[in-house]
Amino acid sequence: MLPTHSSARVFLSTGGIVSLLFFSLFAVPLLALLLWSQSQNAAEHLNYPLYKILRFTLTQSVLSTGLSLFFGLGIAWSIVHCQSGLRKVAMLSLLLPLVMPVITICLSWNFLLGTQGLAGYFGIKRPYGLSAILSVHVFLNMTLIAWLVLPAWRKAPEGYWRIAQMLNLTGWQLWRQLEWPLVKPYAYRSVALCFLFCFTSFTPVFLLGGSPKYTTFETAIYTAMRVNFDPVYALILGISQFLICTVIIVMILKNSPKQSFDMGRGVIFSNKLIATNWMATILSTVIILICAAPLVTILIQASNTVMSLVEGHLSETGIETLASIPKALQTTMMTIISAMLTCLCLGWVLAAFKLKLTRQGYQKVALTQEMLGGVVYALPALIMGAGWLAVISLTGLWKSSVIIYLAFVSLTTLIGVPVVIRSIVPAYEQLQKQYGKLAEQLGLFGWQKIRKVDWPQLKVILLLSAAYAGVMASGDLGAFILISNEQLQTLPILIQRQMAGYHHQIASLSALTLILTHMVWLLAVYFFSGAWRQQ
Amino acid sequence: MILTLGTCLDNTSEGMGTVIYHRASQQGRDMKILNYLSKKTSVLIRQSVAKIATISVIAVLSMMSIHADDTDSLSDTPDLKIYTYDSFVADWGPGPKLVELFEAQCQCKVEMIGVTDALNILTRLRFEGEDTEADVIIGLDNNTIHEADELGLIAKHDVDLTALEMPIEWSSDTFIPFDYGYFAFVYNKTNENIKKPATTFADFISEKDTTIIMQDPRTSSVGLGIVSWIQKIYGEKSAEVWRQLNDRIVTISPGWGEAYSLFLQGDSDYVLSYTTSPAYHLIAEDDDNYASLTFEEGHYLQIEAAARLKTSKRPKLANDFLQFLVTAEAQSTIAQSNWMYPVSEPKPAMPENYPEKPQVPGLYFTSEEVTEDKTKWIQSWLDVLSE
Repeated sequence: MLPTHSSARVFLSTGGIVSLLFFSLFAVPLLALLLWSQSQNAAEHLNYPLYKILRFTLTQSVLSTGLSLFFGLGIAWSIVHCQSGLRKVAMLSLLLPLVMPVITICLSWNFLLGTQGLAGYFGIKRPYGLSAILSVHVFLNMTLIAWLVLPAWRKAPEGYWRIAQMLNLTGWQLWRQLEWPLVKPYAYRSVALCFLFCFTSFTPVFLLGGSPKYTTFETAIYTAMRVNFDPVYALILGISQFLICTVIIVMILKNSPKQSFDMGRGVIFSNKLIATNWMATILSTVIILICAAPLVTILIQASNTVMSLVEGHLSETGIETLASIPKALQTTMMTIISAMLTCLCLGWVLAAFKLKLTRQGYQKVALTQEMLGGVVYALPALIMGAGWLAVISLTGLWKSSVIIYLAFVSLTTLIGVPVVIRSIVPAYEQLQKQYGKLAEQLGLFGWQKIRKVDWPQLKVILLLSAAYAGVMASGDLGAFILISNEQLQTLPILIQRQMAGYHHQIASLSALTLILTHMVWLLAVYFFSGAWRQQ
Repeated sequence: MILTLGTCLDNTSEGMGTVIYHRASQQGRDMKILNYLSKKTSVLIRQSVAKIATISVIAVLSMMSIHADDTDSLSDTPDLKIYTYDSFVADWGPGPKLVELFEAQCQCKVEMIGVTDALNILTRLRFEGEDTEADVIIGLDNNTIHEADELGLIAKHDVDLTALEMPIEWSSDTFIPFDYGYFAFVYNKTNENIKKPATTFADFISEKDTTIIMQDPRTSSVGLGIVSWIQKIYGEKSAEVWRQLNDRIVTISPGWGEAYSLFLQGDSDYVLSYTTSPAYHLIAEDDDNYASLTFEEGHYLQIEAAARLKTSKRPKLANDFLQFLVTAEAQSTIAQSNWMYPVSEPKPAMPENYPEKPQVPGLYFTSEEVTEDKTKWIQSWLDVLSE
């Protein structure tokens, strides 16, 4: 049995409508922002010059990337050359900075390196500024780079290591002759990614900058919207960042090595030919300590807060601040769940639509759809937040929590859907290759095929990627900071407010709640989806 | 940032997904899938649908709970909503006590909303326009009331101000003053870095080894205060003064509360605050270790004010609240919890150890002058700090 023209038409029109719905998620707020900016009587504005913003954004991005690469490669090398049981622990610890929301890392910076930590101990009078921003960026990105370059060592055939042994290559020689050529293509892409990451950074610069001197595009957009009330300048900044990011993305895609880049697996098999290096063992221990330090610090500080509460040492303001946690947790959970559902549905339909278009010979339409989806990567999250602020302002719905909640879900979905699409498209293609014809022979089309073939095969990856997308996006500060209010705030917003009020210890309890919420939710979906059975 | 994080992590999940998928697909070949389809699919679909339904119900309930929050808030709507700055509504600030006193008097419900710092009240009003839910705003000062008037949202007051005792004559017909003070640099007398406290602004500027925490003039009324103060004394040479101070600034905080907390935590030698700030430590904490610098050139005067909004649905109640703010009882509360001088005779009277007003000139610009030149001054400040 072959699919009828009408069923194909229904599928294509459904896909088209869902695509339009997805694009409207960023088109509507952007349009609202444009309309709003025209309606404002912008008299005089205190705008930080664009060239200074560009200069600092580039400076901190280059420095952060360079340092992250140096330390990231060091971490990867140590893990590879540490053949003891420590290696597994070190590799697991690399995941900690990746699952901890950035704001929680910034909070732990205060306890570890700020005036309450090392800076205070050594009498450093001005710990804020570039050094603080760099330290957080490097911490986040060195582990990311290490995680991304680790699979490079898989690529070397065992013969390489034998020859290296025969030639007595050790240390620097081994690195230069054998390891660096393997790592180079991986390092290239990781560096580009890391550069983009630092370029669009908001939270560390916002919280630890300490002076208008340290202004990036993202923080300048925030200032333009929140402080100067200048949507026009915010739009100019947003477009500038978008263009620069697009150029960087295009450069990455153009110059990236053609060989396969299976980043993300991060698993290296034990290779007995790689000699254990005592220095690598020491470094691996240091890596574990460094990666675990923020989480451990937050755990300790959160425990202290609980103890203070139990012993009655917490001030009234402290207790009042503490009382906001359950409501923020509820908002965060609702955002995660709703975003997960919308990401799952939209992501699935869009991925299927893209494949269908390609199969039906509409490659150009599929490419346009993909490119438009890619726009999301380059658009500053703050601009989308500003767009929603414009929607709220134009509709006059300041008092409605529902519209703010819808904005939360929309922003989270917008950020999360591309993650879901990119996760399931390869699996979907594989599924189509293996079972597409079989399903056709069995007469399974449309909804029947989705129910009987696609969902059972794809549900694990769909649920996991959607859960991850929801968690990742809801942990962001920048997207929500402009639209949240006293009644509706997510945990990252609450942490930011607590930090701004210097309730650092109470903020640590909120941070721990956020981290645990993310971990528990991901684990719940992992078991709920049956992924553990497949593992 | 999250977008780029997404870029990298979706690649990660792509890898993970492929691994999971391959493992899943290895378990079943063509024959197995036929068997799978015929026997297990219906069970799996039923389970999956049940799971999706559960999640959907949770999501719908979440939406309903948000809506319920809205409904709750409607049934529990306060009679008077007031926007103010955070430290005003803190437990140690005057807000809670004033609300308690006024509620007992009016038999109504009052809600004070802290919107970080004073200048954010202005930003908030700009954003919300006529849709604002505030009836009254508290905390703008003599530097900013003209700018607020220009928004066209502030109503004329109907408050009797004959009992006012102020260092300058009050002329606004929209805002009423409720306290005043003089900006000053506060320090800890036990701090060994401060060997000889400066007695002139010039001496203070020429210090090399001490550090300061200041507030952002774009968000904080205190920050705008120091910019105005330096402008008043040094005029065209203000940029040079900022250049000299720049190396000593530890951080620029968005508001007074944050700056003062950091100072108390030991992050700097001085903090920009008020001449009355040491009184808080002395009277409330019995700690006489804090003092403020007194400069011969004079100290900038800040008069804090409140106003009613034209859009208020309860103008009479809003006006009553403004009148209440200048009563002897409210003035006593404000003076002893906001730690500023009262604008009329307080009752109960101030404690004996409450600091005297500084015997130096009180400096100020008119609100119109600040509105006209503020942008230029702050732009100059921004230029110097970004060097």
